[in-house]
Amino acid sequence: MLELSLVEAAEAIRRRKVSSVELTKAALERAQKLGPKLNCFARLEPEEALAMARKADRAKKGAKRGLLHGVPLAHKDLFNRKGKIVGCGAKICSDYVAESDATVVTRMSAAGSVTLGALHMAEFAFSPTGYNEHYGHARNPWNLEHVPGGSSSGSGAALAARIIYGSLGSDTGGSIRLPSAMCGLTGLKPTLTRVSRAGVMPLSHSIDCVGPLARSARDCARLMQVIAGADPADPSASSRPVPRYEAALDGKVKGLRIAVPRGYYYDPVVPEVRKRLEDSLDVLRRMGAKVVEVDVPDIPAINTFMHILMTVEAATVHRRWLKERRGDYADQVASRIEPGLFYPATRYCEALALRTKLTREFCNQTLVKADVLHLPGIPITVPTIDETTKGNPSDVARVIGLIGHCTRSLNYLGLPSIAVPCGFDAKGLPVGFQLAGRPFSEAQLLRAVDAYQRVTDWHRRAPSL
Amino acid sequence: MDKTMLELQGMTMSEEHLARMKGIVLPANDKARSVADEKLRFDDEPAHYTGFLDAGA
Repeated sequence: MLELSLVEAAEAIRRRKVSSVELTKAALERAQKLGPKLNCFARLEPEEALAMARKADRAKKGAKRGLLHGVPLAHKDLFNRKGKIVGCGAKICSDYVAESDATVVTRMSAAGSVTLGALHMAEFAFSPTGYNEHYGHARNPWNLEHVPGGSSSGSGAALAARIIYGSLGSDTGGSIRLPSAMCGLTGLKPTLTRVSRAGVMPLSHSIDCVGPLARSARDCARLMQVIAGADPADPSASSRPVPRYEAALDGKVKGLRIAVPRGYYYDPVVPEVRKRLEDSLDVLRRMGAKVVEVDVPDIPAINTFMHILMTVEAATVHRRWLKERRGDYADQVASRIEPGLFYPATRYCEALALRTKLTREFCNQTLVKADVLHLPGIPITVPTIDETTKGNPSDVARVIGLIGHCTRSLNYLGLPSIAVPCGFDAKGLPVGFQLAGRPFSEAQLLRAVDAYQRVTDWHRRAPSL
Repeated sequence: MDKTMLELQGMTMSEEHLARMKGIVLPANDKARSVADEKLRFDDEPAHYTGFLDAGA
């Protein structure tokens, strides 16, 4: 049953082929069996999950049901849930109890989903590998010696291990797309402001995005339908109408123009990853898409502005704790926030003021001749935990830096991007690509990826655990 | 200057850690400043950004 996709599970419940209690029990059993091995749950809530499932099963025939009615899910441990601890992967927040639900949590509940608990994550969402000194590393289900990617590490591990059907994560520098790429999943970072951030732990308020991780584009479309849209509790959330994402999935990419950038994004790609990326382009070409090469603007400059926004805003959130409780942070995490204490306010304002110009420049250069941009998920094979924590510090820093090489610029630009599995490396770890698009082009990205997934089966492969 | 920044933030830091921070912040600051010198105009307002996104860029 846990091999079903999210949409298939929802459909099976709707047709009463299976009950929510049956699915939830199966998910809980698997969570209890594999959760400790993968270190993917921050907290499991079996009794409450079963109570939600029973309630879902009591719904009368013909009664209006939500899009996720009875489907067991779990989310990154940074979404407020009333009366629950929201640990944010941090020692500092280990006793923080939320007073109300995050808007996305309210929407998931209204859609009828069952919540199994809270998923493990990198401390304060500050690691592309999923590193967590306080509560241990989450493990990659494809090989336990390897990182699952972060910061939504528990989401990546639990989904790939077929414990849950879908998960919400957050993405400030790649935190949805990196675990998706590294665990063989599909994960969408929406356009900045497409999804409300009310009640979500802030890392960097002008960059943070909330979005889905799932096993397919179709599942992501279902989750986006539930969470996207305006929110009075988050004035920054866009009031643009929300498209019908699933209705856009028609299996067609004929005529789609795909840009492959020369230079920055592909420069550090290792041969075995490059081969998988080229294979994915061949598939799309055979389906009728047109692939063109484009030049990209100065991406290191964009990354620099992204670093300034992220660290200054994070330092604003953490300054008092850094002063009073520095020892309660992992040094690797505090050291990533602290540069934000030093940038002059003028640099920060410049980083904000240049955003429109740099985004326009980027779109004009890459997305005029094309509809979407094809990028690597990560340019290297999925590293081991040791490669990202031990040995020569400069080697470790290089590996960690490469992980976010292809994701972080899109956060500064606010553009949507989806990570998609496209094969495996020689050690059997997943390889993925990204498709990025113009602002609010999520429906187009989901449509292209769904079409790709109709003729490939990488997204259906499951690790043996 | 770095010590002044720390004083302004009410923070303390070891000399060694301060040197690490300087190694990160100074090159990034210089890069950002030079791009801003080249591209930023007086009417580039950050408030326009989300409206610009909403309009589909």
